[in-house]
Amino acid sequence: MTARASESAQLLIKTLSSYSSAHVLPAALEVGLQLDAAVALAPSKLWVSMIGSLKQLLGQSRVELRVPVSDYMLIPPPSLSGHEAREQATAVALLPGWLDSLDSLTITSWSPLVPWGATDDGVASFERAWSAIAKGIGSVSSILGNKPVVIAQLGFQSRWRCWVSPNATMLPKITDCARHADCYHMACQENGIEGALEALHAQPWLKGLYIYGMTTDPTFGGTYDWSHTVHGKPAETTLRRWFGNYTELEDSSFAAAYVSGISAGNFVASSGQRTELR
Amino acid sequence: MHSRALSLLTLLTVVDSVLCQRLGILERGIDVRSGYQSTNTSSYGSPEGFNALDAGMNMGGNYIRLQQTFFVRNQADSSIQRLPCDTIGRRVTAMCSESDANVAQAIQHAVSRHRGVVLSVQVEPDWENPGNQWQPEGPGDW
Repeated sequence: MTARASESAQLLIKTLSSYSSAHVLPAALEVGLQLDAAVALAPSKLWVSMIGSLKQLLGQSRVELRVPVSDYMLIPPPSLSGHEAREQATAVALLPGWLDSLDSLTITSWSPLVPWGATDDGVASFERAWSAIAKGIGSVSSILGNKPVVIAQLGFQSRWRCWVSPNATMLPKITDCARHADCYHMACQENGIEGALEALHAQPWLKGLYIYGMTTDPTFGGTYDWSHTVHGKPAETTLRRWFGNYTELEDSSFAAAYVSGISAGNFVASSGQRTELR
Repeated sequence: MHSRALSLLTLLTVVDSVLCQRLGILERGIDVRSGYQSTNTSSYGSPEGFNALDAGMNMGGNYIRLQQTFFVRNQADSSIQRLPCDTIGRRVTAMCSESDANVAQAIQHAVSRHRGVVLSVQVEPDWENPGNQWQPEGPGDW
């Protein structure tokens, strides 16, 4: 197991060396796996060694190292309570020591936000759920010496019940979508982002956040798409407002790309089941 | 009078802009995935990829998050290698084919025109460990 991890580390360093020689280093580097796999994969001393090598290679002044951690590993999802919550909370006590050598903790968050069967998808509901998650993240940050935290993947699919299994991949066939509202729900995504950002933006540990799911496919998105991307959806306007470039969504430009994409056979939003990016 | 109204409007616009940018001091950005799902032809380093980076930045973000190829263990000979596109099963194929050159070009583009890029590199997702694979939820999960 150690040999495999060491081999991985060497391959990673080799790859990044090629970037370094091309003078195109990223501003920050996330390295590793989900935390559970990372802990299982290699002993702490190997991680400490690898992190040290990467810092030396990339230059500490320019590169931050982060390890992505699923929030459910550290923080009880708001939809859970009692025994399950206590079990997950104990994971905090098992944080590996090498996390200390990282510049920041990166969290990807796909926990179910509300209990199954809940029907409230208003902004306040998302804000409440994310406030609970934020409290848990704050505790973890505090344990790690007020380590800054980056939310690396934050998003909601534009579909009904977008708070349940936020990264759901199995969806009804398009033939089940007799009405648009049967399969797509733009407001759920819009409210989710609004509520999450309301809960997050003033947290002292928050170093940054990334909204998940845009792609390099210009036709990917729009109001006939249930995926995470905000491209061509009302949530794009919400995001622009939070990000500081508030302009109303220009439907016409997206519609042109959408039509163009369909004619080129590239748009797959209407193909029923599909694999979600992650 | 007209000039005064214009000044007031300008002031309000500035104030509105400042107030709206509530994430202004933070690292904020878009996580951009690579590829056309249907054809697997796009990449971070393509013109479409550059446009996607720009589109993300144009929302007001200051960083882009890219994801580099996965490293996995080849079950045949136990070697560590890039994730081969034809063996990834349910995983999306687009980003598995991302080359170092493509990623480097995307980083260069983003750095030259924007603030920067966060690169996510996964080191060996331990393909044999079921707990570490991405499993789609069952039917009716939403």
